[in-house]
Formats: sequence, structure tokens, C-alpha cells
Amino acid sequence: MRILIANRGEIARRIIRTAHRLGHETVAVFAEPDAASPFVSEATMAVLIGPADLAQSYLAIDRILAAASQTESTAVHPGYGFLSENTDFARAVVAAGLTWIGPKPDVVESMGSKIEARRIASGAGVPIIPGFDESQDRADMAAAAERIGFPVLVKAAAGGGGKGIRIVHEASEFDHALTEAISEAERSFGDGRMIVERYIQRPRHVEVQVIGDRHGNLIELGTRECSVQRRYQKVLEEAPAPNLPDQTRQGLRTSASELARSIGYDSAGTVEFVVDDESGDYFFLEMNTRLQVEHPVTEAVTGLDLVELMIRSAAGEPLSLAQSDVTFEGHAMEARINAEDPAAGFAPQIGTVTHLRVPNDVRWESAVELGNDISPFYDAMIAKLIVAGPDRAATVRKLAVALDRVILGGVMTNLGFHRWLIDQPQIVDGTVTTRFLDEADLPATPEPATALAGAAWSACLNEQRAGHAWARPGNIRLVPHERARTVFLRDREGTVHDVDLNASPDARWLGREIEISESGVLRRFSVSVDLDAGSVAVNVAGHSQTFEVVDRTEHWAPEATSGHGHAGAIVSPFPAVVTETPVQPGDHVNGGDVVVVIEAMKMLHSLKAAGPGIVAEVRVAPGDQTQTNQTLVTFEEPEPSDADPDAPENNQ
Amino acid sequence: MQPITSRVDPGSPEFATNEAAYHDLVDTLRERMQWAINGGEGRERSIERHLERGKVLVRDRIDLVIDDNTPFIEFSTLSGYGQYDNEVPGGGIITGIGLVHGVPYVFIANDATVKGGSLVPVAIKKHVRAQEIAEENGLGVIYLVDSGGAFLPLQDEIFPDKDHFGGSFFRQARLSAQGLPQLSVVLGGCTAGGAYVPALSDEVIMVQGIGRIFLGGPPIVKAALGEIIDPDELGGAELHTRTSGVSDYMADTEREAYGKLREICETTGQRSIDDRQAWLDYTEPEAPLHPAEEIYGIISADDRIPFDAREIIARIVDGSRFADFKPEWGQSIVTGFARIWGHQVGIIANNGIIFSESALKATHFIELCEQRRIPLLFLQNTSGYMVGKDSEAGGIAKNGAKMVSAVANATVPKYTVLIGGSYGAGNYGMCGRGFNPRFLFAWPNSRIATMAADTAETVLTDIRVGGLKGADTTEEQLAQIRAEIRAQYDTQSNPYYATSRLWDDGLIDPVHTRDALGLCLALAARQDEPAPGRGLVYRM
Repeated sequence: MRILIANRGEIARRIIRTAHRLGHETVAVFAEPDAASPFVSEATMAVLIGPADLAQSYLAIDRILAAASQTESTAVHPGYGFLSENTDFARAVVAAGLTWIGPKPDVVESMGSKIEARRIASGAGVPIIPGFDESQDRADMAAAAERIGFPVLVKAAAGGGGKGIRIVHEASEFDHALTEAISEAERSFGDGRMIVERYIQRPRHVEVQVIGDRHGNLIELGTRECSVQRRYQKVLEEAPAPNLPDQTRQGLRTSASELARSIGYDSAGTVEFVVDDESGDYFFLEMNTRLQVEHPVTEAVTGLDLVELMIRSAAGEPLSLAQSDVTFEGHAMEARINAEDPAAGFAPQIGTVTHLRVPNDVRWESAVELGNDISPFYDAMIAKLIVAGPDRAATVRKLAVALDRVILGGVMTNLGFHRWLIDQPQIVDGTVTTRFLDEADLPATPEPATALAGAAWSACLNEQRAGHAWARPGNIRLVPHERARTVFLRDREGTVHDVDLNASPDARWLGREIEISESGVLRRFSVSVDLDAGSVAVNVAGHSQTFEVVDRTEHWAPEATSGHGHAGAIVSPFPAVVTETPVQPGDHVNGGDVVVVIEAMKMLHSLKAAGPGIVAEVRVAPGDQTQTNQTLVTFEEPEPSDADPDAPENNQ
Repeated sequence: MQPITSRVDPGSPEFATNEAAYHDLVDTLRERMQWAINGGEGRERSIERHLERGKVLVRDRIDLVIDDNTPFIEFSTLSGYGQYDNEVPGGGIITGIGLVHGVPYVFIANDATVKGGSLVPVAIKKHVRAQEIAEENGLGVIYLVDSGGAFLPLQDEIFPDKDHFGGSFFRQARLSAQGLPQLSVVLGGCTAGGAYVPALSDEVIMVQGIGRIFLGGPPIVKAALGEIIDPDELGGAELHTRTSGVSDYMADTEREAYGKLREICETTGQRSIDDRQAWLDYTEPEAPLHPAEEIYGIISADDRIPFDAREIIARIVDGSRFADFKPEWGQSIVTGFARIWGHQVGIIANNGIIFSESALKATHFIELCEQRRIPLLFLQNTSGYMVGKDSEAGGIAKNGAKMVSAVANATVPKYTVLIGGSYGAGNYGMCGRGFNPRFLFAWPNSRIATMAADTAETVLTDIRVGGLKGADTTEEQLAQIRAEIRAQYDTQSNPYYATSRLWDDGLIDPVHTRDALGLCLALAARQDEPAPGRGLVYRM
């Protein structure tokens, strides 16, 4: 097959890897910002399909199909996201005579509709969240609540944003809560219609992986727990889901395969459920008719390659294993590494990957390599860190260790957030609900570890310098004078730290780590140093803190300035006649602002302020003759707040 | 090239005795260097005052200018030791070589914590010697000026002669003309003659509040003109940068000045230390097989017991490898090829008295190196050329002269280390100070004089007794004469006496020898090949 991958980033690379292992050729389609991305160079062929705008690239069905035709591709793998669950695309691929590496388009369509999916699930005997929306009669609703069982949720049918929602714990509260919710919904949406639904106090997100073929065979590959979510985005996933009663686990798996089988599902897919951790009850949420981001945890515990199984199924091969052949071994967890700043409300971050150290004994699925740019156009997820261990406790520990070692520098990521996360008792115990992250107190960002970074820089420099004696670092001085050794490190905020290396512990360079002796104990710290670029990254509580080493020349030398002013005053550079004095005492000026205009030799000269200041005195008026070095205007020292050139009063 | 097989037994009692004795020598060296750095009467207070004024100590200033994590060769740290009532540690001036953006520069920096940075005779000598080093090695000079000017009580030893203060300006002007950047940072006073250091520089930075330049300071202005004037108004950074143009840049702080200085150094167009020229053969350096610290146990505690120069060479050269030239002939001189920090050198080392044969062998070897453009390293440890009837009859004078001529006329870079005795004409033939080695270092066990104290005691006593013309000399008188002579020789042949007077570029701990030479050789490697001389006339 020649498989066109209608996707980008880590999943494109993931698919390419398996495709190539099976001897298939691959075609990458890419948008302009991705030209330097690894998936483009790793594919057998690559086609530029458009600009950053998604509608003109990764979502442009016609362009992707044109690329397929141009490259004589025989199959299309859609990855996840983008067009992976787009029925039109799936149909168009099939219509073009290409193999669609995914479930048949009809299934994609039916599962794509929430209502339809709920109906099918219900029909297949899969539990759905009990609810009541058939009547707006208060008595009917109260009866429904009794039937569903407390606690229940009354929520606005037109709702959203948490408005018009009440949790009702007892029947006696129902009437009052309903009144409140209706009134709030009317105020918010102008629509007081209500739905009554089972309220799940401790909801968990558990899903089941299924894989089917085109011959009617279908197996399920066990559960995954994805309850660690932030605003409905999964953060940390694991397989199998921990701490589930046997009955629940078995029920989930059976329901998932029954649902999939009932629709003739013929590829990799995931059935998502909400599990009530109190009761062990579970309810169907939706089915994702594609490969999931978190598929590697299932692969880790089953030893299967889901992309391979998808490709084989799409090629018409029967599944190579039966349900009874599926075995599970150990535990696996996946941390989604996003380019985002947890301390800034998880705002997406862009930048260039300047350091990359991947620890041993992990699976690392990444969209980027060293030197790649992270652009603002796509999803913030840039990598996945997957660890597997013999049991859950070991896996948790191994993830913590891996997070202490990994370095992805140059761009802010949630690595440190993950390191914090893996220490949380609920994570360690496997008892989180989907509300966990929304309710948790997020950790503070650690202070810049300048001493560690300085020690790393120095240790690497000492090790790497070779050649003649001058290239030898350090203390050759022939006299017992301890060389002042200061390194200047600029952190990501732009602050330059003076780091006194003589005050830092001596560190030994070990290539990927430095070793520091602390009262007899040799400790190792994961670091990365780029001597040529003058850049250091250190792992501090999981955070990849990156520092730029600043040359003293740049750090200390005064900036080049123009103008005749100095901090204190404007002086006449030569004898001239004043033509203009556009400032008054008390005026705020910024560097570059014209303060006096003089004329000499028939030329006008603007004398500008050297920096921000407040005009103290204007000593000349238009028409006055000036002498060389005569002070024309004086300034007061600016108040600290006025030194900010962005301060509104200075923005004229 | 084969490594030297060492015959030293570090477990032997002699080794232990020697080592203990040498540790004492090294401890003394460190102590005295420490004195130069921050010792001396009232120094603590003046260092405090210096720091209180927000000024940076001189060695720290250099550290702020040179590249991170790079070496600095400091010269003649103990200049002035024992002179001027021992009140001028280091001579009040620091000189040396360090890298700025990978380019080596000579630094000449006044130490204002020593007599206010005023210049005693040895300070001038050190200043001029540093300029000489700059010229020979093709290096720009960075002047960190913070000086009260000439030390007037000794003005006759500072001002008038060749190589006095005037000579330093002569050299500075000519260095600049050779395209060797002359850069000044004014960090204190530059009074009278001192004003010419910045004024003759290619570019000048003045630090506000501390830097001042004037031909006549406020006291002189008051005496001459009756004017009372503020020193900053008379010669501060603002005046000289804005009005007089004596200075090119004004910096608010020392750090800013050093940043500016480093920025200037980006534009000087000098060859970097890595810009090795092809004429000087180089391969990747290799550490010696034997630890340098063993030198302590090799050098006899009793200086009448000789030690084998090959054992020293084995602890200095790359991989301890040495291609011994003519090893079976003229054995009191060891000659051969080796590498130090990757650079090829021809080594000439004494193993005792120089005989006619040894002198001829050395001459032959010098000519080989001159022909092949290989730098020469002299390791001096000799009591001089052989005397006596046979030796004179064998023409030791003309044979010694061949060696002296060859050394004097060799155009390849020459380096000398005094590892033991440097006596008599041995000092000449082995490229002593008078023969202009690029650098001359001495070990703390070295001795330098016309002859050893023992010999002097005998010879000079006889002469003095002979001069007493018939008068009977009592045993007491004789003993007193002997004691006086011995004391004079002991004092004057002492390495601290020598280094105090700048007869060398510094006393070094033997373990630093390889590094010091490696640093110096690398300087030559970035220069063009020196022009070879004409053939000499040898007296046959």
C-alpha cells in the first residue's frame, strides 16, 4: 500500500513508523508551518497542500485527495482529530477508489451523532445515563427524579456554562431547586425548559478499546482510565483502569464489544463511558470511530500494534487474534506533553525546541525533534511520554522517575505540572474523578535553578574544551588567586541572573547528567547543554528550565544610543538658534522624543531625549542663540512607574 | 616517539625526603604570592577602602574582562619582594596574558591598594617588560589604569633612563603603530605622565566617578595657578568624554566599562588563539604518563646531588615522549624533540657541567631546530662550563661561544625555565635573560649567580686575602670574609631576589610548568613564522 496520512505531528510519525515496518510506503501532506516537521521528512513522499489555515490544508478534503491522486496513493489513514471522524471525507476517500484505514463511513456517521449514538447504544443494551426530558410538568419531573434516584441533576435544556443547573440530593429539595434552576435559566437563556438526569457524584472517564475487521470479527482490548482531565482535555491516561469492581470492568468490556459488534464495527475504535465511582454503575458517553491519542497505553499492556491492526483490517485481512488470545500484562501510563504554561492558565506556548533529552525505558511519541519550531497554529500537544511497569504502583514510580529525567527545553510545557501530578495521593492511589484537576490547587512554578544551570554549564564546558592549553578551562593562573567565575543566565522571563560558579557546588559532567556531591552523597541531575548556542536546560521538579548564557559583552556594554541627551539634560551640540521647544516643565518624555529643535548652517536638528524622564526646566525659547554644550533642557529622574514605556500616559 | 622510561621510585626514602623539602619550598612560594595578592603592612585597610569606594580589586578586574573559564598567565607576581622595605607587594602592578573573545591580550593593571598604585622602579620595569612580551608575541595591550603616577621619592630610578617611564610611552606608541591594539580603561587616577597611558591608547573608556586624567592634579594646579578645582571637573570622565575628547567612552560602572571594552575587542581584527599557523607543528595534546607532582620528589633536597633532566622532561612533555638527539655523546646536555600541549619543541636540558662536547651538541641541536623552525626550550640546571687545564686546552671557550652564538642568533621562539642552578656562562649558553627568551620562568629551588656560593666563598676569599697585601690575616678575619661572601651569594642567588628584580617572568610551582609553557607556545603558534636569520660565523 502507499498510505497517505491525512494528519500531522506525532500521530503522523506514529503511523509512518508502523507502515514502514510493514513495508508500506507513506505520503505526508503538510501545511506551510510544518515544512520542517519530522513527519514530513520521515514519510516516503510529502506534498505541500496549503497554508497554515486549517480549512486550506489539513481540513481541505479536495486538496488531500488531489495529493493522493498526484502521489498515486492507495490508502488514507486519517489519524485522530482533523478529518478522522468526518463522514464526507471517509466517503470521498472510498469514492476515489482508495482504501480508508478506519471504520466504514456509515458507522462514522451514525456514531458522529450523539442522539443517534445514544439510541444505538440503548438498543444494544448498553446503559445510558438515566434522564427525563419528555415533559415540563413539575409533578412528572419530580416523579422522574424519584425513578432515576437521588441525587439528580436538574439542568436547563438550553443550558451551558454552568447556568441553570442544580444538584438535588433529596426529594424534599427538588421543588425549590427546580424553581431556582428555571428562573436562572430564564434569565440566562430566555428558556426555562428543564431536563432531569442522574447526578454522578464521583464520575470517572473509562473507555474500552475495540478493534474489528471487515469479516465481522471484533475484539475488545480492555479498559483505559482517562479521568485526569482539564476542561474536558485528557492529561494523563492509563491502562487498565484501576480500582474497578470486577463486575463493572467486565460490564464495560462486554458493553463496548456488544455495541461495536451491533454496528458491524470494522476498525480501531473506542467506546467511552462515565463510571460512577460510588456505585460502580457505568453509562455510555460516546464512541470515537478512530485511533485515540492514548492508544499506546493499550498497546503497552496488550503487546499489540493498533495501527498495524487497522491497516490489516482495512486491507481486508481477518483479525489475527481472537478475544481469547488477548492477554494483558502490567500497567501503562501516558502523560500528554503540551506546549502550554500551567502557571498562566495553561496558555499555549510557542518556541523552538532547543534541548531534548528523552530518558531510557520510556516510549516517546513526539511531533518535534531538536531545533523544530512549535507554531501557534495547531494543537498544543507536542509529545506523549508513555511508561509501562509490572504493576500500577511501579508504573507510577517509573513515570515520576522519567519526568525527573526528561528535558524538553526552549518552550514552556506542562512537564513540571505532570511531575507534580504524579505525586498527588489521588493519582498514586488511582482514585481520581474527572473533577480532580478542576478542584485541585495547582502547584507554584519553581524559582529558576540558576545554581544548578550554572554548574551544568561549567561542568560541560570543562569537559568539552579540548586542544591547546588556552582552551583549557579554569584556574591556570600560576598564582593562588581564585578566579572569579560568574556566568550570566537569562531565564525565560528575560531576567539575567549573575551566577557565581565559585559558590556553586563542583559538578562532574556525565554527558546527560551532572553529578554533584552533597555531603558525601553523589546526586545526579538531568541537564542539557548546548555550548555552541550558549544554552542550558535543567530538570527542576520536572520543569525543563531553559537558560540562555549571556556574554558579558552584551550584558554589560551600554546600549547604543543616539541623541545629545544624557540622563540629566539636553545640551546644544554646537552654536545654533532655537527654533522650537515642544516640551513644557512637567512633561513626561520617552527616549527618542524631540525636546528641542535648533537650526545651524541652514539645517534643522532635533535634539531628542536619551531615555524616559520628566522635564524639569526649559532654559531656552525659540529665537535664542545657543553655545556649544549649553544646557537647554533638564530632566528630573523619572518615577519608577513612569519608566515603563508602555505606561499609558507616556504613549502619545 | 617513545616515552621516557622513568627510573624514579616514589616509594624510596630519598624521594620522601626530597618531596617533603620541596613541599616546604612550594608552601613558601604560595605564602609569598599570597602576600603579593593581599598582604603587606596596612594592605588590609587599603583593600577595604578600595572596596568601600565601590572599586573592584585588580585581579577581579582582569577576571571580569577575560573570557569565562579561561586561563590567565600572570607574570612576576613577586616583583618587588624584599625591596622598598617590603612595602610594595607585587610592585603595585599586575601583568599577564588573558583571552578576550578568544584573542590573547597583554594586561597591564595597576593595583591601587599598593601605595595608591603609584609606580616604583620595579613597576616600571614590569610595565615595560609586559610591553616587550606584547611586541614579541604580537599581542594587543589592555591597560587597566588606576595609578597615582610615579613614586616621587624614587623619581631618579623611574624617569630618565632608557626603559624608564619614557620608554613605556615609546613602546606604547610603536606597538599601536604595529597594529597591536592599545586599549585603556581608566579606573582611577592617571596623573602627569600617567595621563599618556590613556592618551596614547587607540581607544579609551573612563568610568564615571573614579576615572580621572590630568597632566597636573588639583594640588599642582593650586600650586601653579592658585586655582582650587574639583578633581572631576579637572579631569573626570564627563570632561574627557564630552569636552576634551581624551576619552572615547564613558561608563557608569566598572562592569559597563568592561562590557564596552569587550565590545571594542570584537572589532580589533586580531587573530584568535585558535588561529594556529601551519609553521608550528601541532597535534592533539596528550597528558604526560607520569604525574607532575613527582617532580617534588625528584629534585634533590641537597642541591649538590644532581637529578636527571630526563625525569623532569618525562613530567612536562606530551605522553612523556621524547626523541633523544645524540644521546650517547656530550651526555651532560640532554637534547631532543618533544611536544608540549601539542606544540613541537626542541628541548635542551643540563645534566650537570657543560663540557666542550656538550656545548657542541647543543649548538648542533639549536641549528637543527633553527633549520626546522622548531621552538626551543631550555631547562637550566648547570654550574657552568667546565674549567681546568684539559678543558681550556680543549677549547671550551670557543666551543662554549659557539653555543652562545647559536642561542643568540636563533630566530625561533625560545623559552627558558630555571629548574636548578643557573651559574656563570651556563646562564648565557642556556638562554638566560640576556638572550631574550620569549618567556623565562624559574622554580623555587633555582639559583642564579656568576658562580655557586661554595665556589664564590673560596675564590673571592682568596682574592680578598691576596688584596690585603702581606698583612697577616687572622683566622677570625678569614672567617668573617668567608661569611660575608657566602651571605652575599646566598642572598643574591636566591630565586626571590631574582624574581623581585624581574630577572625572570615569575617563579612557578614546578607542577604548573607544562601549563605555563603550553600557554606560551600557543601564543607563538598564532604568529607568522619568524624570519630566519643569516648563517653565523663560528670560531672553529
